[in-house]
Amino acid sequence: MNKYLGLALIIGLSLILRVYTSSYLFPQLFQESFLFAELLGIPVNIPLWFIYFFGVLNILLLYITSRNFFSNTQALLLSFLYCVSPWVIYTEASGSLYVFFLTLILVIFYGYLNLSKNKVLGLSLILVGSLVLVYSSILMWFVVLPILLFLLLNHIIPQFAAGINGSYKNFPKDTQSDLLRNSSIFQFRKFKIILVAFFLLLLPLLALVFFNKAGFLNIKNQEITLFSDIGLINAVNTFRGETLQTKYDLIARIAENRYIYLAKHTLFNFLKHLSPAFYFTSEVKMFERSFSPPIFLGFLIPFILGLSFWGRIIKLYKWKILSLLFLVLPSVLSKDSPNMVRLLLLSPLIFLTIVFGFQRIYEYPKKVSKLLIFIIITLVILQGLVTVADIAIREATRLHL
Amino acid sequence: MIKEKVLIILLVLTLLGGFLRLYEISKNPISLNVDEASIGYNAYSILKTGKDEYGVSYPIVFKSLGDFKPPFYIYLTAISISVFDLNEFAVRFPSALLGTLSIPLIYFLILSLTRNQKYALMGASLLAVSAWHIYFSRVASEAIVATFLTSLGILGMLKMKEGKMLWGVIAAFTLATSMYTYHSQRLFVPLIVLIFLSLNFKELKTHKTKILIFLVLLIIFVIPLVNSVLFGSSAARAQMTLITNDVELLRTVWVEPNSDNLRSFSFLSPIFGSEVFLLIFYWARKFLAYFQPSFLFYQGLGMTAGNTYGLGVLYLFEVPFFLLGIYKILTLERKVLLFIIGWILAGIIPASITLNEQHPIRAMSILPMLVLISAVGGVELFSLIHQKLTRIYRYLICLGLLGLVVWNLIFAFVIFAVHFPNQKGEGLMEGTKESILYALNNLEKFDQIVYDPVRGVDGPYLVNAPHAYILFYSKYDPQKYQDEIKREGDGSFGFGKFTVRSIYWPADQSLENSLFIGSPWSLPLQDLKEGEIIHRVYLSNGKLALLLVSPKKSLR
Repeated sequence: MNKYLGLALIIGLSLILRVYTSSYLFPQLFQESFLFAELLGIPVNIPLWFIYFFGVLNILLLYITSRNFFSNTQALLLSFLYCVSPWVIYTEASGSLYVFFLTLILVIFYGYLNLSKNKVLGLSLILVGSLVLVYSSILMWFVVLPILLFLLLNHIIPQFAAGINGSYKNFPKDTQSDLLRNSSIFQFRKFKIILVAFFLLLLPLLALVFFNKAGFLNIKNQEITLFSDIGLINAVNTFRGETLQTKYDLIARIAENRYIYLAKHTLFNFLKHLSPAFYFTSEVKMFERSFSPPIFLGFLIPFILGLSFWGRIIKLYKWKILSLLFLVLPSVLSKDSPNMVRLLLLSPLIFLTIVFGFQRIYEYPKKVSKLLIFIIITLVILQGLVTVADIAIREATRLHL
Repeated sequence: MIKEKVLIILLVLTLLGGFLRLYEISKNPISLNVDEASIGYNAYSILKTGKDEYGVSYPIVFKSLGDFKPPFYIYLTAISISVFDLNEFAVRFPSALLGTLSIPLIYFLILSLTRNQKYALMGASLLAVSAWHIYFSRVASEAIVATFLTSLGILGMLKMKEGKMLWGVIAAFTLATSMYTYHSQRLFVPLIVLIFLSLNFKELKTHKTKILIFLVLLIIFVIPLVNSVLFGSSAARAQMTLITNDVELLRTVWVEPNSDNLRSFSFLSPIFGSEVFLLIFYWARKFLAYFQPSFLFYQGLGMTAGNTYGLGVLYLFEVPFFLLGIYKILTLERKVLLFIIGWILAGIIPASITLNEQHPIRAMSILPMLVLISAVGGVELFSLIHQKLTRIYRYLICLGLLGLVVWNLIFAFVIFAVHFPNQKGEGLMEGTKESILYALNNLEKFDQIVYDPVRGVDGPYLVNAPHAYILFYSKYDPQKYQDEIKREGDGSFGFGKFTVRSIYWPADQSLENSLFIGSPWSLPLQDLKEGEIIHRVYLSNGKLALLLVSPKKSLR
């Protein structure tokens, strides 16, 4: 009973915070639409309640999926972090579709977790989640397709799966092929049906793209803006112009050219996402709002401590973990990187790291553990109250509302 | 004892680093900045008269341009000027020399901390070619000298821990001297000493007397500074650069609440709406900004304009080194790990409590530890490649890495040689020397020379201090300068034939036998007759920076 009460309280708190934020701070900012609707030319108005609904679903999914690995308290903590982080509150209150995309990612992940227990349910969830994502946004193709490809390689090709597990090598050579064919994870035959269904259901979208190429390109240019920064190309030209008249022109051609700059630009766009300042301070102003950090500064302590867990996990689940890096791609492909709205897809991993950190803190001697918890809670509450008070008395003046 | 092979490698690295720091040091950076000119002249004044430009005998704070410079670098420069005369080389030489000597120093420092010779050699290699360190070694940089002294002091403390008392004395002296060299050390040194003593408390208990002597010496050396820091002109300097003067803080954070436009929960404001809390979280943001990849890897040095990709404080090829290094240092002995973390955090504090976003000079104290982390990561990466990969992949990866290193160093060279002078020359007051040398060579032709301090190609946004350059390049007699009554008032300042003030051409054009030096903003080209422009000064990027004009009534 207690765990459901905790969850209910978190959901209730979540709705209160979001409704307060949207009604007192600013109107719905995003008027996004789905890819298939835009290709068909159908106007779609996504109401705020739709986003709130999927926000609540995210809380539930986070709780349910994390219960596979964590205790009830830790799972509730993960949901609580999602609930109270200004990052998520602002994104939901502004009506961004990325809340919905996150729900679908979590559905896929939940499906993946259920593959060994209930193959049909697991595969269906993965299929539905992937299809809806692909139909919703071009950027999601960069997220979904690599993850699906990984699942395909990991589970469809038994040799690949057995290779990762390495278990078949322990058996005599003449039995190895039988083991591979009768892999307990699942059989190729059943997955083949799902795969065919996936491609068949994708056909309408592909047809839409084919018949509305101009519209598709337009949408693509709006969503993928990584290289649309005129300033970047101008900078390259300026640099080249400066070296042309000098004796260093030849070596400058090696060190500086358009391709190197574009490669650097992509790399730097990715590296930006490794900065703690973006997640725990107001370094990047969300929706041009001033002092709400995406995540309260107090949580930086458990975040740093929690990073060590990833080091251990990567050793065990290298490729699975690395496939999660694709969640960063939508933000990397944005001109305004790091794009905190698109990065919402990564938020569960950040919150997960914080939960790991709290676990680490509990492993310390009691006095140290209590002191750290006290500091964290004090900082979080203090910053929360300061943020609310600052918004109440200064935000309207800052934003000329 | 250090082995012969290691000694040779260290020597080669030091020579390489020395070459990179000293080659054409007078020509690149393209101009003395205004601080260098002021340092040079004050050092010259000390050498000739024992007083600074204001006539204060052997000061421990130099008023200089009103920024109250710490003294040590100026006294070092006085020694340099006594050997090389007053010129760009002499002003920059102390920084370049101690920057070069930092290379063997960091070897011994990393060796002392990690007991790993490979890490130490890799650290020395990385420092030898470090763009951050080379850039500031090539200017008169108090921070480079201070970082050298602090690193030497910390090495001394590490040796002192082993019972070597002489090192304790050296540590006390060098740490104290570093506090006379650069403002940041006045906060950093006490913090790092505290961290060191706390972490090594148990071992140091067996050397109580030595620690006591170290602390007493340190305090004695620092006493003359205390009054200045707390109550004197250094305090004024600190006030000028404190975070509370930050423009963004004042304009966007500490916005005056409008009582007609309050939202819900405004009742929290008496306590939680306080500016103090906002300042704390603003400071936290500035603190964490020093860990941004942009500062570390692609824009930290500010050698190129605006949002272009230039050089960070670390090279791009150090990205894998740095990331792996962070992972690896977590496995070092706990005390060493905590000391490294403490050094970095303490080093950022002085930089973060000042205005300006991410200042590479003010954060110089953390350079040795960033180099250490990169070095550890670099060694471990090569070790992993050697252990985990087959021969062919080993060669391919190493070739790829080598290519990346070579490309990155070429890119850094092109930035230093071409883009930095072109894009930042104006900020370094390029053209001032040329204009002043012209004026000095033609001094007898004019009754007065008026120099407008405001300049800028895109707008009159830059404010120079031309008097510092005039004094420097003319080697103006310091005693005469101290004694003569400088003309002040009406916003002008003058000595000898020189006057520094705004030019107002409608009135000034009637002053014959005068030379006016100013930007096209104060000497509009459309208002000048061709015969009146006697010299034009251009920047490296070809843009017109300054005009030298002598009005001729006959042309009007």
